[in-house]
Amino acid sequence: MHELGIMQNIVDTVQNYAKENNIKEVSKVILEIGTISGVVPEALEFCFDVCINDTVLEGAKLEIDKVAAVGQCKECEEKFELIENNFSCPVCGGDNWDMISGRELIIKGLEVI
Amino acid sequence: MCETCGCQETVALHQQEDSKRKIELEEKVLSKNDRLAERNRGVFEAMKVVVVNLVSSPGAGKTTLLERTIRELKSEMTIGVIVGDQQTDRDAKRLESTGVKAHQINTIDACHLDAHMIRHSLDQFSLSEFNLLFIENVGNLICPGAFDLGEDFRVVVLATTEGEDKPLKYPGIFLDSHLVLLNKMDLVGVLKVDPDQCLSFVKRVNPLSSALCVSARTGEGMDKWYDWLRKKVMEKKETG
Ligand SMILES: Nc1nc2c(ncn2[C@@H]2O[C@H](COP(=O)(O)OP(=O)(O)O)[C@@H](O)[C@H]2O)c(=O)[nH]1
Ligand SMILES: [Mg+2]
Ligand SMILES: [Zn+2]
Repeated sequence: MHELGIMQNIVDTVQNYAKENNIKEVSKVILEIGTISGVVPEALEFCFDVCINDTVLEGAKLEIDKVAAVGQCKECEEKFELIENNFSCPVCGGDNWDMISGRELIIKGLEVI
Repeated sequence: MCETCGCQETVALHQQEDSKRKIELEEKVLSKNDRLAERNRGVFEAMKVVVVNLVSSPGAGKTTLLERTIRELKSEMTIGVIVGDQQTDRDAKRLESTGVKAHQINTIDACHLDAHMIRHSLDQFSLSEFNLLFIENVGNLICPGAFDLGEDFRVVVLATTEGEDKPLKYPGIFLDSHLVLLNKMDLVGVLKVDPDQCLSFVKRVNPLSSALCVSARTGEGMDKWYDWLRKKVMEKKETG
């Protein structure tokens, strides 16, 4: 589990940003987490509460937008969910695809007061 | 905190003009790691050292594989090892007994190595004297996948004892891997696992990855791995 370290990273980044921009209170942090980013959203949520104590984020909400792992078939251009389909195209059975999404680990934005 | 690697660096983020309450950041969570990894890559390029990041579940055989590899290749090239271990220095001791320099990073509660740890550990090596640097990552198939170390190649060690479907269950680590070593081939008969099926799952998740079947214990199949390493070292020598 490396969610604590990842969350500490997120909180540090937001804190730096708040300091530079004279923000006194952050009310929400919005993250985008891909399903094969190697990070478990539930664990992140737990770590958030631990990490925000005594920071400008104290009391803030955490919103996590999960992003599905999607590939696009190089043969027939079908877009499909990779994990459900065991990484092969459900239309033509092709194993060649480009990764469209699923590895995101992004601080999308903030809501501030 | 260290100054050389910019730990304290503040991140340049930009505010959306038209809204005072909502701010768009679009900042990669691991952008700092990615930047440090790029710097490591630059150092490896300049020093012409091939860097191989070995990842696996705990016990898949990374240390055993490295011990045998080093014993076989150390007369041809200068090899160094960085070992990430959560608690002990047992692996570093095992690797040092092969007669090469091994540096231990105690990650304590971290389940992966990151680019910053590697950067500091490079101080222990005068890199220009090395041809090949192995990094034995912490045993874990999830977390190390997200952390670029600046390595040239990521090699996943998968043991036949883990069953065939690890690539489908832990795709993240396979997506960026260059080579998969299916280890403990000596046990295939007993386990009744199907190595071909396992390798087909590897290809399905990452068609660009190569794969080799080996046994770090008996030495079976290891020659192809040595040839792979020799080729990479040769190619790097010839560039520039
Ligand atoms: N049968 C068999 N056992 C192996 C092989 N490679 C490693 N092992 C054993 O697997 C166990 C874990 O190996 P180790 O190298 O410490 O794994 P690591 O945690 O990935 O570094 C040890 O008992 C090794 O002796 C192999 O190819 N065949
Ligand atoms: Mg080991
Ligand atoms: Zn298709």
